[in-house]
Amino acid sequence: MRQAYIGIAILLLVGLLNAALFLVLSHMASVRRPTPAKAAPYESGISPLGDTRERFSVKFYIVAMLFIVFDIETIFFLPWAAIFRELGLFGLIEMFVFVLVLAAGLAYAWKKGALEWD
Amino acid sequence: MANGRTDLPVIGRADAGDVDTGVPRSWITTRLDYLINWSRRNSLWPMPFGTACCAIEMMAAAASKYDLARFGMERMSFSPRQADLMIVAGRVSYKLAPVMRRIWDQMPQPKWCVSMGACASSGGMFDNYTIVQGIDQIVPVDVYVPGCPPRPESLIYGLLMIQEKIKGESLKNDALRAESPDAAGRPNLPSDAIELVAQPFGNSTRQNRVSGIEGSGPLQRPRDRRERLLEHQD
Amino acid sequence: MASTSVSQAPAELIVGAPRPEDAASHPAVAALRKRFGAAILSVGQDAVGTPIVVVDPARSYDVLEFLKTDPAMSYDFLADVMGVDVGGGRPIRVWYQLWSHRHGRNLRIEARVPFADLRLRSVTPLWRAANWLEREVWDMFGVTFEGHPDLRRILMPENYDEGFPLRKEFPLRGRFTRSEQVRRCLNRSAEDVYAREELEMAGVLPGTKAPGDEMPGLPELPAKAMPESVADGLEGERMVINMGPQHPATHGVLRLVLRLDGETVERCIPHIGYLHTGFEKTCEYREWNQVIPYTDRMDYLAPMIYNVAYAGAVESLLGIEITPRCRVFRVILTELNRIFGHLLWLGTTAIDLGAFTVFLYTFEEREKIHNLHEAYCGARITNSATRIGGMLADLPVGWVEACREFVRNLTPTIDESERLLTNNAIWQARTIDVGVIDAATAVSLGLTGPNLRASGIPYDVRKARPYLGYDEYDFDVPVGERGDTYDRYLVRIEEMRQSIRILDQALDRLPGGPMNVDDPTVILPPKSEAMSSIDAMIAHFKLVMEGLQVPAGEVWYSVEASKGELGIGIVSDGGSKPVRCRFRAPSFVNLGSLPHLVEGGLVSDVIAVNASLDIVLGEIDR
Repeated sequence: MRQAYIGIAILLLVGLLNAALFLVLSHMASVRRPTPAKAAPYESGISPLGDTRERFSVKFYIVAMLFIVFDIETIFFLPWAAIFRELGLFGLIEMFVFVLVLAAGLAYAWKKGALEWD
Repeated sequence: MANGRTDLPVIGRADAGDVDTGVPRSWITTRLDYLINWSRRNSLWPMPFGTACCAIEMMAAAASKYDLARFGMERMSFSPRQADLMIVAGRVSYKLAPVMRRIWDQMPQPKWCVSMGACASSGGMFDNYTIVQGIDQIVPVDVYVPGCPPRPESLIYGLLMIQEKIKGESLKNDALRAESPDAAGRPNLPSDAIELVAQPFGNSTRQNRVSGIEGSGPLQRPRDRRERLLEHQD
Repeated sequence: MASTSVSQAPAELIVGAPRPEDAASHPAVAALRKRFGAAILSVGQDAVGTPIVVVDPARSYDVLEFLKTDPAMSYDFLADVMGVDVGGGRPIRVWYQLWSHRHGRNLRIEARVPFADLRLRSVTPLWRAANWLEREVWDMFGVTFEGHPDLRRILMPENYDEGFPLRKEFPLRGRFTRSEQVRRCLNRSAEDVYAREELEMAGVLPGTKAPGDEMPGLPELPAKAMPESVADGLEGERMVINMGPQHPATHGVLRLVLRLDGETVERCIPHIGYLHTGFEKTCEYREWNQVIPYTDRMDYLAPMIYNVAYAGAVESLLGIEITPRCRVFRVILTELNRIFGHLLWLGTTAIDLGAFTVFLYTFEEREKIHNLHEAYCGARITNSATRIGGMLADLPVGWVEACREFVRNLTPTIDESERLLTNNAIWQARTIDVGVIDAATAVSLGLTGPNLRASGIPYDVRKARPYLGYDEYDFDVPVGERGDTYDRYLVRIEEMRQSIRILDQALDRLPGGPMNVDDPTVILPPKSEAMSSIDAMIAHFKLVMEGLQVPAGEVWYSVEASKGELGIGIVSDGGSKPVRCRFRAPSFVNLGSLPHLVEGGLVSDVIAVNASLDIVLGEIDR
């Protein structure tokens, strides 16, 4: 069991080292000329009008929240799918219950009109 | 200098002088220079500032037949934040000039500029009230590509010249990437230099409304022409 | 392909060619004389037979209203509003070019406004197309249109203070020195860049500066007024953003100021003029043949159509007939360029909506047309192929075969692009019922070309007022039904197929004989003759030294360009340079309809609709 984890540890280490290397090299080779113009917001070359810290309509938040919930649900499926044969019938029913709970939530959101854009 | 004249203003970085960054020139730094320049020039992300006909030839250069992708330039960045190279393709009017300058200012270093076409390089066939007579009055230009419009091969040649230019850069020489914070939004040339380079030359000196040879009126044609004039002709 | 069909023109829309009528007996002229009497100052005819009625400027609105609303007149399409300054302090002439879709007749109303009183009543209540057209006349000549909803500069910057460029007293290079022009252009404030309406939309108080917000060389950002009460519940605030001028999907340097409520576009205000090149002014300083290279650079996507149209306009003023070979060859070039323009439209529209492959396929076909262009005249895009009285040269050996080869191989590419797009669920979802415009609004907004035909009006200048012998070719005009983006797409695809049909016919019937007219006072004689015969040498000398002299007259000549109806308005004083050279760009008027098409839709639809209008900024801004 230990053997498998050593591989992951090496992968993690190499990945981190790689990222660090790129960052360090870029930092060394880079040209730094910060000017206020570069910090100004970009709006196709025209000075922007007004603040961009506007309040967004709530429908964006609703879509984002629904997405997160069902995305996490999908992620939970993955490890289950990897070993579901070993879990047997118990695992299947367990997963169905899980999906049912979330489906109830989906039905509620659907009925409440959260999936309508306007 | 051009034709032995020494009174023309020296435009660009040639007279900026080498500013020594104090990094000693050794085998490591030259290898590092080579590596950095190699990676920079082979992965340039051009920002097409395409306005008119030259933009179409630039698009053709990016398409299958002339394929900029073989030079690493297929990822055209339209955001200046992610671009290395601004290709000004087409005529720039005075209304568009501040937009171009602002976008140039918003590009992070290292950045280069290609002036593609006759109109961007010198105003082209438009010596009039509305076209900037050469974008080097507004932004510093590295390579000028002549043509109206230049063929895609010409543009590629110009881009290869940019790659050559990048080969010659060095970490040691700071002047190449010089950019002063208060140069933002200002013209690239001083007023007298603008007057000098924008003055009419060649055929532009003879733009006049007098028809034909000075003093000749409409000629009598040997054959009749149908002439439909208004009853009231002022 | 379901919604594209060559529909039978409804009974009240007659699009046959009008019979050439004498101006005085034209029904509109007779009716106007009867009704308005003294307000009709004079009547004439231009070089292509369009009746011209000069009216008293004080009554111009009444005359135009009668012409639009009276059922027997029914001039529902305002093709152009243009100004002419003939110089010498004489009154500025404003031309209203009208066409009746119902009766198939055209007419021009001319009003001459003296400099002492440069005012006319705006006709925007009658035709919405007049909105931008009158703004341009204001911008270029300084004629005020009373009652115009938004009379401000359109091509020049907002607070341009050098003057009115197309007036004869305005110098070609402008009033200020070059360094002064550069200094001014880089020192613009928010008022110079934004219209008053936009500043109000963003809640910005004009003339204020935000403290601590100064960046050297950049215009100061104005202070924001106090935000509206936040008691409106869960609604988001509106955001005013700029789309363009530097933008991958605006098809050029177009700037759209959008007021957004989340993703919905509440208000769209296009700003053009970023590519204003002063073509019309510059062409007044060029000889007749020297104007031809300028015509390439306006619609650089289908340049030969402009070459052919301009040459045709000047030839109508000269009153000469081009040779049969030239006539057929010009049809070949026009249709080839129509395909050229439509292929680019297809490629860029597809890439805007995410279909990169179609871009590559269409550009490959365009390369073949580039090769044909280059084989003929040496240039890929900016061809300058025509000359007044003929073409720049006769066809090279093998060109016709190469063209046939190209035409043969084009249909499979169009089919392949259609297979990728037409029944594609994503494509349909993004284009069906997006940017819908009905027929009446389209006509009022002055739309022409495939944009108008997609809304159901079968108006094509090649059929309505045939030129270059188009009535002898067998082709159909595709017409859509719903007027949405998908229909505009289908109409253009079908137009490419119809152009292939015309090309096949034209290539078959290309006659032999000379390409240029046999008139040494119009066009240069062949070089071999100029070197050997004294008459030809004299003619060559005169033509080069004095320039072609076009007799005094005026014309408004229109053709069907790939984007719509292209109108060339020329006034000649008998000399070697035009007095006025006007290019009524189809995309200019088509773009004026953009706010109507996108307001109420989503931001992503702005891109789809903008692409479907097939605009080219070179001809919009001129």
